[in-house]
Amino acid sequence: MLFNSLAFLIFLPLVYILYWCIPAGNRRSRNILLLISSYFFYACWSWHFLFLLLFSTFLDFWSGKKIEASVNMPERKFWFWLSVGANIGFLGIFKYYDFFAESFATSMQAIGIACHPLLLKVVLPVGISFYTFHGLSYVIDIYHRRISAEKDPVDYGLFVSFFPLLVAGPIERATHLLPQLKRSRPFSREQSVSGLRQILWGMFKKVVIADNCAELVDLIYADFSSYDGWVLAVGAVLFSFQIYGDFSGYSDIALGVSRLFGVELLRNFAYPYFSRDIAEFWRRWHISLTGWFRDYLYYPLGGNRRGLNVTIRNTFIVFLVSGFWHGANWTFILWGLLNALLFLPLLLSGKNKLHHDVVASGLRWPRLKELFQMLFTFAMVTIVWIFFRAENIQDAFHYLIRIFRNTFDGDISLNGARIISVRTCLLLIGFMLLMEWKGREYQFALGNFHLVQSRAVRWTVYLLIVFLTGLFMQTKEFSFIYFQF
Amino acid sequence: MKKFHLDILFFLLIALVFYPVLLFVYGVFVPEKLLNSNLVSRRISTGFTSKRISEGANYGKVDVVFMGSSHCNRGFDPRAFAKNGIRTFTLGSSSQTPAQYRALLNNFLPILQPRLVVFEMFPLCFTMDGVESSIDFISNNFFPADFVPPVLEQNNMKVYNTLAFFSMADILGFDPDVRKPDPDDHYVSGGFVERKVYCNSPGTKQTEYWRTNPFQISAFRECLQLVREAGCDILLVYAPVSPSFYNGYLNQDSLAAALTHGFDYIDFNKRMSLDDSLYFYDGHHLNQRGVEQFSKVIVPVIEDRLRSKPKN
Repeated sequence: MLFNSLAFLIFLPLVYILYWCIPAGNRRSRNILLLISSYFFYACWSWHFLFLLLFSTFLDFWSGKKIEASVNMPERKFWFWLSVGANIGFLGIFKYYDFFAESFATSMQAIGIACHPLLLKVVLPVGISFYTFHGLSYVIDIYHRRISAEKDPVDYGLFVSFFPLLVAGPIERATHLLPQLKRSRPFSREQSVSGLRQILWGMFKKVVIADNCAELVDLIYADFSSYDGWVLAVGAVLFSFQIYGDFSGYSDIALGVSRLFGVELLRNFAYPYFSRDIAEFWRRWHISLTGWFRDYLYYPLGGNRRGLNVTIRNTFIVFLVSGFWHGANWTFILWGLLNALLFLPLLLSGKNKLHHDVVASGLRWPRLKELFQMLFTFAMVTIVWIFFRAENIQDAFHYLIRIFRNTFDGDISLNGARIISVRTCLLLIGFMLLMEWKGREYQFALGNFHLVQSRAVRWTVYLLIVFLTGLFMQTKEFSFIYFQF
Repeated sequence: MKKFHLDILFFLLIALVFYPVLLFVYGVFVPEKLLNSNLVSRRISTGFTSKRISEGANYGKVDVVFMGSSHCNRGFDPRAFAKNGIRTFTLGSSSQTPAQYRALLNNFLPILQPRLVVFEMFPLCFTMDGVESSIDFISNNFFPADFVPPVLEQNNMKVYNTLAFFSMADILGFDPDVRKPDPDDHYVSGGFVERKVYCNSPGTKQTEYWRTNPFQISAFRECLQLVREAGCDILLVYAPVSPSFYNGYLNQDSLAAALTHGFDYIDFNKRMSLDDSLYFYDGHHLNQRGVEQFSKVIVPVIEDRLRSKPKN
């Protein structure tokens, strides 16, 4: 059940109506309804893997209680490592086993030893990387005595499986979400209006920006060796906006939907393409994952408190693991490595924490220097995205080389209808960037609309976005990119 | 809470009113080729649908009606049949699929009263969603109630927008521009489109399989039932396509077996082999020379069929 599907258009209002029909004092009944709805939502993807989700939820809930109840350290450690091991084990089997087995066979072949490992070839359970990280953060926090174990299985189940975040995040923390689930959540008009605004904007980014870019990007990447260099450059730029529109659009819809139920999720994107350097980009892109790795990997490894060499090592580890988290493919690992390499000069020069503020805050337009910095950062990110998108590392390098070397001698080029599609995409991207620039000091592009006094103006803008969505939305259905992770 | 829900309803109402208005303004003032939008704002005349519909409404009784896609209106030449005393009419149109057959049959069977209905079985029609054909009919102001179920099934924004635009144009008495037909195409009375283009460079085609759309299969089954209930004889035919195209699909026979539902079926690709470069203007459309060759084979078949099923 995609957020942009007819099924979800029926599912959401139905759950919404039932939810608000339950009296405000009956918090538990509301949570039960949301939990059942979330399991139904997940079962629509794959009812087989619902059992895996249930098992993972039960294991972490139970381990959490056991860790807390442990009377000595060995017992505490036992339950902790059992839970962590099981979580990572599931992830390893479903997501990485075939990759390691194949990589092993290839390396054996390279030294002349034929090897045919058993491959599982199982479909990756949707959302496994996300709900596993929910569970891991929960047991790690209990182990380190940052939180108490949850007593109510319904609340814990909802923390892991709340349908807006279940399949592609944001990756929540027990410290942030569980207290909200334990409070009664009275209806707030402002919160609900803001939720609808964010859904509208997220939908525009997904079905108009991301999906229109996707069609062209798929076309170009599928046969990139036949295209002119400029087409490949356009393809790379369009992919940057495809992945942004797709994932930040999804996150906006997720945040907006949960706001309709009185729940605030962690912010996942903060206008990353308005970043002035790579460090700022990573503070603004997939914030919930970056934050997770910072708290549960970078800091435990020593963070930046043990000298420059250890800081560099830790930075590389985090980027490599982050790349690997995205998928079992060398392209993702190289993508993580390249990001670390881009980050390194900032780290060495001590400039990795320069830009914590909003670019050109209080100004209408950026200064020339800021504009140049943003364009340079975008160019770097776009080049690195090629490795994320390509089928394999060789393709990524060939794609990159062809952009610069093979500029006007491609066999085919974009023409006719395709040129019109590119023009349309670029115009729509321009509109999106303008709206996001205007709203960059707020949570999302339309986040400042509560300040607009005139309802006529507000509604005219909403209507314009609805109109542009209806007029330019991609009629082919594209799944969200991050569902595969 | 009540105010919030009332506001949502009010906004939806306003959007419902202003959305078609904005579409209309966009369609009238923004050239179609400027941006790639989900709106067709000009009448499509490339397959002469408008002419066919208006001619069909006053054509009177015929012996044979042909149903299908462009293979149908570019394959069965009524002049060749007329020479043998058979009066025919072609209801085929560009990219038409079984989803559109029902509306056409309901509208035209009572007027044309054929003895035989021939369905052209080009497999592509059974694989498509039918969006292109829906837009073709909508832009030519043909949208009977029977078109609603397929349009809902297609659930395509381009179809909805085009329908809203042409409905607005109709209400406001605005006559949209027309997309000019190909200069090589000529409409021939009886629903036929003639193309006298004799050059085609055959390409190489990778082999693949036809993958049908279940909605089209069930729509087709319903249409067969409808024609049978109207008392007409039914014949299913697969008009010639270029051999390279035909051989490019590996499941032609199994697909035919699945589609024909026990009705008489003739695959003319097995009866005749037409040269790719001489008798087609692309991979699968006959040119006029190809139509003449095909007519030599199909006319006697239809003649025999009509003779074996005398008039009531």
